[in-house]
Amino acid sequence: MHEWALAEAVIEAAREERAKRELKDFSSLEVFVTLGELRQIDRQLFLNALRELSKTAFKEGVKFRIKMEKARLECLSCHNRWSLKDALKRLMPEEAESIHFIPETAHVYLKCPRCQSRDFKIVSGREVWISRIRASKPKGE
Amino acid sequence: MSIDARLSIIDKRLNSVRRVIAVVSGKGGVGKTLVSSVLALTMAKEGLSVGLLDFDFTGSSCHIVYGLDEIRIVEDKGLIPLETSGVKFMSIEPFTKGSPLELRGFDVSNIVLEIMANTHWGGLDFLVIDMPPSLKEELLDLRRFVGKAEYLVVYTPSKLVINMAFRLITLLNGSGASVLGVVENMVRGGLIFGEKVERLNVKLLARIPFDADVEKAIGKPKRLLETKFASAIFRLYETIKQTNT
Repeated sequence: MHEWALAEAVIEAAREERAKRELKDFSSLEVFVTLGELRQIDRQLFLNALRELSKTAFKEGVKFRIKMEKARLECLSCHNRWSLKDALKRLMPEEAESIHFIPETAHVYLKCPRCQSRDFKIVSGREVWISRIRASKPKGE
Repeated sequence: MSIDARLSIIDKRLNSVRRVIAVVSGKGGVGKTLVSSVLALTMAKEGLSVGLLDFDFTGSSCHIVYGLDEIRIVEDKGLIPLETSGVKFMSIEPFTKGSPLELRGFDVSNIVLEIMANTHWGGLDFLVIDMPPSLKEELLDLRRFVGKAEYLVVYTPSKLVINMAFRLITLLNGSGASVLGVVENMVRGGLIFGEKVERLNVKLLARIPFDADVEKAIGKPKRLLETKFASAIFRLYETIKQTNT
């Protein structure tokens, strides 16, 4: 359950950001998280882990807004840009799992569909990142 | 706004690791992998809790030293290192399975973050990191993300290697990184680095004579520990232990 480790990182980052921005006196937090397609995160598992971890990490109620980001790759040999479509599904399970753990191992298991090069750049859809944190004031304020 | 969540969790992952020893060099072929791997074996034999992290993503080879044909990394709320010969071992090898990995600089930095953020080492007396040669991403990222790392610089008595060792130590000293000391490896003659070492104000921790028997013992951890090389590494370990930070 790699989702748990990633959720831990998100919770820790949200806590740090809340402290940095000195967010006080609010009734709830909304944390917007973007998940890259290449990571193949089980959205529900990830959300469950976030909810479980947030019980001890935050006193206030926290809502998580999850957005998926499509992966785009760019070949550094022929400059072709392509999306994964069902490329991950065509891999052996252990190959897809390697990319799930360490997305850069895509350089072993994927190649440019035009020139077959493995020298490509992951333009989008790699990361797990917090795109926004919104704090709501208590009602009546 | 964009927050890379991995940056926030690295300190927590290393919370219970007492000391992090990064084995570094400016040039390749100086014996870092053997120094790292045998140092970790020695520490484990001495009853310490020790981890070995192979940070050479395009040239991982610690698993060869330990004779591991297939490595299975267990997943339990993150990555759990493999236990082998008393050492907790982590490498990119189980994810690439011996295939060449074409990496650009930003890829390397991402792998550094990924492994540091997701590996559960648990409580360790020492985490030994076998670094790739050069002064590039792996070194710069480790320096940035793992402030408590102590650097053990390995060199061989060759003019080509010494020149780079000098640059590496200057870089580390200049950035406030903790240089534990230097190890002169594969020694066949007199000390030729001494004067430069003194000038850089770093300690010469060990001089390890060239040992032709080490090559035959690669892949056999028990036999490795019986070599003259391992005896020299044991003395290095005792010195490191005394430099408790």
